[in-house]
Amino acid sequence: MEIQTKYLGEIEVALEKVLMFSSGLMGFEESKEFVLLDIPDNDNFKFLQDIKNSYIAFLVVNPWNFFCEYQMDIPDEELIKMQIKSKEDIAIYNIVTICDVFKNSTANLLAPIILNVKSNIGKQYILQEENYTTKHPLYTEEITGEKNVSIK
Amino acid sequence: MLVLNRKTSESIIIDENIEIKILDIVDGKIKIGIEAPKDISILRKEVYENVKAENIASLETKVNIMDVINNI
Repeated sequence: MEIQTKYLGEIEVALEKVLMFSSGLMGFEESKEFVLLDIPDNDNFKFLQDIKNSYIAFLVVNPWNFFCEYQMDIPDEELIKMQIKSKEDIAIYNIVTICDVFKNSTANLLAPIILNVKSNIGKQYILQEENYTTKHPLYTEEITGEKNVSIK
Repeated sequence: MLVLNRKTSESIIIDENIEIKILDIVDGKIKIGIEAPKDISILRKEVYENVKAENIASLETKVNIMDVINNI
């Protein structure tokens, strides 16, 4: 199917690539169908694009490319709700907020996007861990290492 | 909004399987205990509002995202 995207023009996506977010994203509860789009010549980022509303596209990252110590505990009940049966079913992305000065851009580590890549189910989940916030600078070394350790 | 008066150690029951109990009240701070099935999501409202605000901020950035991420 053809979809209109916010940043990549009109593109063709396969129906089986559509991710179902039954609760939407927080603040965007009406957005229930997304696709994860690669960005040409850029492996660091992807777009999570609402297939029905081109304006709604979130820049996301694989958190471990930037925050190697990032960890989370997802309760079994949550995994069951998302029909996740094994580690291989899961992909995690975090929404990035780009600032005019790129060095000030941040990732939301408090509320990762959890995907069941096998059954194409997605959810934004708020972690119970208290050492994560919605604004972790992408490029500050002390945040990726020392800060998390010292708070624990 | 339904408004109920409760004293310390009194509860309310929602949908027969969620219990919200007033444990203690000190200096205007109320300690609440919640018993609910584990698949029920319970959040402090300000945490939810914080995530919602960040999602909106991410989407409404005035910066040209493609320019920025391709020039790292």
